[in-house]
Parts: sequence; structure tokens; C-alpha cells
Amino acid sequence: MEIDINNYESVLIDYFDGNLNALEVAEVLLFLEQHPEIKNEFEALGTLPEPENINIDSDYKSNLKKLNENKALADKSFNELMIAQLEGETSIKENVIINEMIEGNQTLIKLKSTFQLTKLAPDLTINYPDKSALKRKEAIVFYLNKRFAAAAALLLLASLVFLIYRNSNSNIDHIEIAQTKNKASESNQTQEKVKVIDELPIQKNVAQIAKKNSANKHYTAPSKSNNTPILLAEAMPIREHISSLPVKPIASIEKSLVLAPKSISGDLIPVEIVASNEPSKAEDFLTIGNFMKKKIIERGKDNLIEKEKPINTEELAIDPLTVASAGASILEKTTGKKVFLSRSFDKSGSVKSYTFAAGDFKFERIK
Amino acid sequence: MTIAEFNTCVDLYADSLYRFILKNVKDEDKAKDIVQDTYEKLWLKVSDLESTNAKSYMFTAAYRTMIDSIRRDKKFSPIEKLPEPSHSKHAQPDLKQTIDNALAKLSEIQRNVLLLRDYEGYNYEQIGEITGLSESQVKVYIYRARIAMKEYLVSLENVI
Repeated sequence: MEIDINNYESVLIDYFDGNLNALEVAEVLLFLEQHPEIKNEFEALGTLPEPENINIDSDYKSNLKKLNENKALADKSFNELMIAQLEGETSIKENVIINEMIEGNQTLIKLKSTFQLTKLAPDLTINYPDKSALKRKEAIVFYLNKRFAAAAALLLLASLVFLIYRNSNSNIDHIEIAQTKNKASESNQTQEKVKVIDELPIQKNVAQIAKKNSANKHYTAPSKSNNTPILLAEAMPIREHISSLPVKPIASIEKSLVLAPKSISGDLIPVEIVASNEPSKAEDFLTIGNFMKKKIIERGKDNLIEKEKPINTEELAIDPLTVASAGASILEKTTGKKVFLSRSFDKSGSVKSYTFAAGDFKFERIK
Repeated sequence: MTIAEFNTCVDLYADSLYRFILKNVKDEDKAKDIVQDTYEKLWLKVSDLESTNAKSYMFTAAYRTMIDSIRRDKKFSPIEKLPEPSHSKHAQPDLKQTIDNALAKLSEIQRNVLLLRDYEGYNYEQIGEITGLSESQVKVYIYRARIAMKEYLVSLENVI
């Protein structure tokens, strides 16, 4: 702001209203000093207030002139000058001018010292209490290459797949082995039993298991013409065919099943007998009489018949009752049950029928 | 940044960070938590940051964490009334306490920029980066903060 003879009235109005900053007030007072006629006019009126915080002296006037020379500083208010100086935004030359202006003026000195109090200083006695808790310890860290990591993941995945596959195969093997063992052990324990059924084709691979067992599992069906056992379909469940057989279960169906002829009349009903530790074969399916004969042969009670020779019932002209008695004694020893044999005669005195009973098992053969 | 450099950052900046936060939140436990959170954040970025940028990053993170904390506290607790300056002629207030009171009279953003400026000596640009303000905004806030403090001190002086 520059006061001259043309604009001093408006500036003086601002002065009276208190709208001027310290520098402008100083400039107004300087203007009045330079124009005594205007000053006298105002003083005569007694309306010119003496500014409280500005002391005009010769040095200040000269400094003000210097400030006027520095237009940038002159345009700023005293507050701005103080803050600029506090912020370090004034040059050395400007600082000298400001300091010279302030020097000797108690009000400005006090104002400057107040501004300097706004410059905050940290309290260095306040420290973070536990820095060691924030610190980290040195540790060896392996940064794996991403390619290695991917390869390792693939290998791990492949290993898992292999293990799962192998376990699933071994489970099937275990099932089959267990079934074979069961069969063997039960055959040992129940040599006297006619039929042992406890290995139903279960699990997933029914067809596969049934196929493997087909060599050992054969079920007889009524045959009018001869005693040849009839093989059932490989994958057909056992229990479905039990009902179709002409036999009836007379023991617990849970673990063991003893099959007996459904009818004691009519033709001889061939029944599968699992009475050996050896897996049964197709040629092992014998009639009761033939089975007993074979047993006699095996135990050496009849040396007339060689073991190696195939059994031919037609060639063996042995009295059936004798054979049956021998078989009954064997059965009594092996099972511990009482075995009864009897025969009935017709009017002509010839044997009409043979009856065999062992425990709950009983059948009759009509001659 | 290495672990050694990280630990150096703890030695160099933990105290100043703690003072800056404590001046704002006025709660030692909260200040400690904020400093701890700040170093946790720095640790997560330890592989990406250069040690030269660590101070700026930490003050930025601390400032934001502190603002979040203050705003969260404002939601759940009544506004604490700041102590009014004593107008008793017999009272001789401690100068440090008076300045603290004057500082407390400032708005949050004025106080923060002033503390960053005076405590840490950041320039306007750096303060702007930390607080998310423009350089001219920072300058204006600092100017207003000093004027407000000066007026508070002058008014107190006049009363005394």
C-alpha cells in the first residue's frame, strides 16, 4: 500500500477503523510526519488516535523507508513477517530489515517473542519405553524359487495320488485274502458241516471277486439224470440262489449254513460238501455215499482201493451199510455227535431204504 | 531394507514417533500401541522399502493409524474438555503447560502439521505427503496454527 495525497483519506478511514496492520499504521504515521499540514488538521480536530503498539522514532522511520524499498516485505502484515521469519522463509537481507525495524520497539519485540513461543520443541525426556520389543532378530530365511515351489507341489500331488491308488488296491487285496483265510479256517473248524457260506461277494468289485471264487464255490442243483454239479453264474450272489436250491437251511444263516435235502424221497440229491482243507474242485462234488467211501479210502481203512485212482462208484462193489457205518464212525469222531444208521426192509426181505441221522441232520436213501 | 536397517529405524525413530503420537492422543498406552502397529506395518513392507524412505513411511502410517484411533475414540467416548487458561492474576502457569494448552486449542489438523513441522522438521511438501494435503494447504494450516497460538498466549499475557 502506498499513501499519497490523493488516497490518504481512505487510508486514514481504515486507520480509524483499525483495519490496518502494523506496517500500514507505521506508513500512515510516516505519511502524516511527511505532511504536517494534514497532521495538524487532524490534531486540531483531536480525532487522530495515537496507536498504542507503534512507537515512532527516527530509526523506525528510516527502517520503514527500507521496507518500502522492499516491496515484497511491505505488502505483508507484521504477523506474516514474523511467521515467515519463524519458518525460515525470509532471506538474510530481509531478516536484517525486520530486525532493525523491530529493534527498540518493545511492543514488536514482545510480539516477536510471543511468536517464537509458537515454535514447538520436542520434549527429549519422553522416549519409547521398550524399543527392544520392536526390534527383530536375524533369522535365516529361504526364499524358494517359484519354479522349485511349483515342481515340489506337483511332486507332492503325484505322491499323494500314488499313495491313494496303492492303498485302494491293497484294500481290495486285503479283502480277498481275508475271505480266503476265512474260508480256510472255517473249513478246518467245520469239517462235518455240509456247507459253509459266509463270504458273500461284497464290496465294489463283485464280479471280480466272484470270478476268483468261482473255482471254489459251486452250488448243486437238483439233477434228475446224474450227480453232476451245476455251476452257477459267476457274478450271481449266493443268497439269491439258496432259495432256488432244493435244500432248506436248518442252522443259523448268519455264519454257517447247513444244507439238508429238501426231500428225502425221490432221486439222490447231490450236495456240495466242504469238508477238506483243500479248495473244493468240480470233481469233489460227491454224493454222501461217495464222500464216505472216499474218506475211507483216504484213511487207509480200505487198502483195496488206491488213492491215486479216480473213484468209480460202479466199480466199488461194497455194501452200502458197511460204508455208511465206517463213515458214521468217522463223523462221530470228527464232530462229536451221535450218528445213527438204519435200514428198512420190504416184504420180500430186501433192503428198502437207508436212513442216516447226525444231530439235526437226517436223510433217507431209498434203494 | 535389511533386518539390521529395520532395527536401526527402531533406534532412530521410535522415540520421535512416540512423542508425536503422544502429543496428539495424550494416552501413553494408545501411543505405544500405535507405534507398535506402525512398526508392524513397516515390517510387512520391509522387503519393498528402502531405509531412506522408512521415516516418511512410518510417520505416514502412524498418522493414519492415529487418526483412525482418534476418530474411533470420538465415536465411543465423550469429547474431553480442554483446560481453559487460568485467568487468575495470582496464578503463575508453567510456560510449557501454557504452550501445551495453546497447542491443545488447535484443531487436529493444525496441531498435526505444526508438530510435524516443528518436531520433525519436515518441509511443507513432506507434511503434505504424510497428511494427504497440498503444500499450500499445509502452509495455510501452519500459519493459522501459529496465529491461533500467538493469540492464545497474548490473551493470557494480557490477563496476567
